[in-house]
Amino acid sequence: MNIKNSSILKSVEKPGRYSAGEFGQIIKDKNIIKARWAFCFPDTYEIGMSNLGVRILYGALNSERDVWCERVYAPWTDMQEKMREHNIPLCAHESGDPIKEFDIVGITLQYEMCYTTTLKILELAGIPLYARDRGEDFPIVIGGGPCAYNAEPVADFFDCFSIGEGEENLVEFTRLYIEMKENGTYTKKDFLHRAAAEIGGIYVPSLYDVTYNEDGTIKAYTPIYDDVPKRVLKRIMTDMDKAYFPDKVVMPYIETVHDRIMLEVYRGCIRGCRFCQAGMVYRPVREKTPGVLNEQAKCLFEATGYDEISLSSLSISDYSRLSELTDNLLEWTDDNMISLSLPSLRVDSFTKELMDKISTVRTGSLTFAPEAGSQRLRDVINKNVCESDLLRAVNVGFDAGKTSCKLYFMMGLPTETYEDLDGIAELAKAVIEAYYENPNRQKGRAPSVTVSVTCFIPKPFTPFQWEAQDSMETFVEKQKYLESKITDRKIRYVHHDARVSHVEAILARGDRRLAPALALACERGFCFDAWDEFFRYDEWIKVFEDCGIDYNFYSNRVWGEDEVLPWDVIDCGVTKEFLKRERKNAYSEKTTPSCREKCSGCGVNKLGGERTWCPKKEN
Amino acid sequence: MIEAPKFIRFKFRKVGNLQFISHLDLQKAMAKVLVRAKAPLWYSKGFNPHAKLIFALPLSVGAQSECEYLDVRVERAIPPLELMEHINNELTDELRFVDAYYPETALEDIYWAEYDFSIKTTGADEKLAREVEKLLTAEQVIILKKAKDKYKKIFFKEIDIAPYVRDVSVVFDGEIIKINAKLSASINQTHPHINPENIVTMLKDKLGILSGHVTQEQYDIIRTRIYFEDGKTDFR
Repeated sequence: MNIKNSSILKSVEKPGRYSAGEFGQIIKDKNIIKARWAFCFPDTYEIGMSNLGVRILYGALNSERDVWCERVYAPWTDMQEKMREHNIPLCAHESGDPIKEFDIVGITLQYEMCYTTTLKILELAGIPLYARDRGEDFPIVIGGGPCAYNAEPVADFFDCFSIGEGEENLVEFTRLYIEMKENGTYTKKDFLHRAAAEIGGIYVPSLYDVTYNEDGTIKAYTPIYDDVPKRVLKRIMTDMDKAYFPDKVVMPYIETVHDRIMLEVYRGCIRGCRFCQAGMVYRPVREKTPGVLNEQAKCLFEATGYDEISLSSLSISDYSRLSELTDNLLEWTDDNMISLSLPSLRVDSFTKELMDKISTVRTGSLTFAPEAGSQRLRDVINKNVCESDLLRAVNVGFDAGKTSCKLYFMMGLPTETYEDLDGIAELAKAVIEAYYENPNRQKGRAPSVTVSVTCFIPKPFTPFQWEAQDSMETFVEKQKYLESKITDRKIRYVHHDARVSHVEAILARGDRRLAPALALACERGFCFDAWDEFFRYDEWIKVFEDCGIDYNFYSNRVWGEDEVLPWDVIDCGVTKEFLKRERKNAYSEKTTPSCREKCSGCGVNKLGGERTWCPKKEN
Repeated sequence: MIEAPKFIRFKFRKVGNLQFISHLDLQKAMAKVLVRAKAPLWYSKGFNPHAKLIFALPLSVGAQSECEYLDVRVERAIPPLELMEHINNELTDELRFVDAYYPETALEDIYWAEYDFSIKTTGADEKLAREVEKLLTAEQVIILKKAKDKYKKIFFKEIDIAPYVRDVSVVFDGEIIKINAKLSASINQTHPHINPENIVTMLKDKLGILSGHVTQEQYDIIRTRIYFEDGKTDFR
């Protein structure tokens, strides 16, 4: 946020977060603007500025001549204090105008733990939390991002949500707003009704009545008007080569989390790991062509001057023309001192050839995610990699002189036993042994393996969406057990805080009855719960208890397959039948081939898409 | 064959919002700006090639400047002013290059920096201005300087900066106390470098000014000129 008072900026940490004035920021003449957008990222500037989605939507909205979209980030707690002390409302980054006066406030929901910060943003802006308490004078508050696939816990605080990819749908939404304002038919109620009825991918929670059964499960979601869809189908960009691409970039002056070019190679994922929400909701796979990507990368380099290009996608090595793309890029990146980085590499695709390409200028670390310790459990989650893949991959790294390696696992997966946990320790040991058996290793240096274990969280729109999360006691026991199994000093064991995962699980599958708890949490000053230093588990539990919420109902219960789910009102393209089928396959330890090998009939092909692996839908 | 000059010297200003960007962040941002401007940067050889940028005097967060100096190593000759134009296309007004040339002096020759302080504080009057002047022109001007001991623990030590302050003038313009002074400035440790923020801190401590409401009271620091050792000849 842009604060004009220099004394306040001089009294807070990292004032560069608030001072704005970046090269590439968009300033427009207010006199020709018909709709002002405040696009909020409910976390710090450094994190928000690194988000590719925000970057795209900022550009897409601002390419409308009469729309001005500005950015908003959550001020850090020291700044929040100053704002309260001096009665300064939350302002937009570029103009410094209070966002309360804007037409539309958009908030991207990237992870459940940002919900409290989301409410804090509304509070700091002076916007009433509950949508029903906001009259015509307040902006329309719209949410989006991955959590919008089940935004029911925060549904009461939003006027509407954009479901799926927002490049087109947010523009249509804004155009409708301008149209109704201009022809005098605008009221908030009528606008939201028309948006829900006429624009694909707009979900207006207040237009659905929710009823509950006696056992606490949901009875039904009923639209209150006939012309509002029973289920809101997500929007996608069908042809990624033609999708809006932001060729101008706002250049942060202070260091951000991802200070590099992020080149989006494709959307979706061919894999279908059964715990992974992104792998399901971002379907279908839609690739860009290497020629287009190469041009876009050049354009981004000229616009930014960054010295690193990160090829970003859910699983970059699954890009069917990766070799062609990296060859094209390397033709000019080397001369310009640019290094390539490939995050999210799968062990089965990490080859020497690939490694040589990404380490030509700078070197990074080896990171792999086997996710589970035993082959049995990896089959259950459909990870489709085996131990030999991992050992081959680490050896490629060791050949090239690497000595350390990070392995990511998940704990508490459905059907997990203590033998599966043993597998984690054994796999780490096998990597250490592989190092010593590798004749090309860096002589005289000891290897180090970091085993990082997160807690399984059942997420909506995954085959595991009905599963129970392990109880806190079980998690703690399992963590202790695994710790006792890892005795080698060359193996470092870190685990995620199970308490955070527990709250995340509650919110991930939550419904509208959690709203009072979130409002109470906001009242009690919760903010930045994604930050360990601010997360207070006991306080969370107390909030739930004070609101009379049986929180384990959401997290630790096996949900019935026939239950109405809070997110059934959203259609992400993948059918429930497919998810059920996949769940069954999980229990019979049967893997499912990737989209590239064979279509498994998830149903998403009804959305169409160019350069996808889906069979064309038969009419 | 004439050997290409190795460095181009730029003078730039860093004002307004950009005063809140730290020196380290500025260095990183500037490297990207030069790449965008297609400057023929010289890169170090080796595993991790990097360009060579030498900033003359670090500017503390919250201080503005009209006269920052930056030496950039180039791998071939290029008209400096032409390159400056390209660079300015990649910048906003608050960070703008104003001069470029092949340097004939060393950044180490910098000896004095001139600053404008403007202090808006309650109860400011002619009398307070004279008190400020007295403090800054006294035989001893004691400031507390942040230092680190060998365990990297921060402590404050008292130092007398009287020899490192010159040409002080203080005026009260009816609302704001304006100080103009030259402070010893140095790129290395050959002579002391005085951070202008220390002057404000001393005035706060000694006179109790700038302790009121932040929306009413504020101060600005602007570095306006840089001099050679005589304190009169502009550095170039």
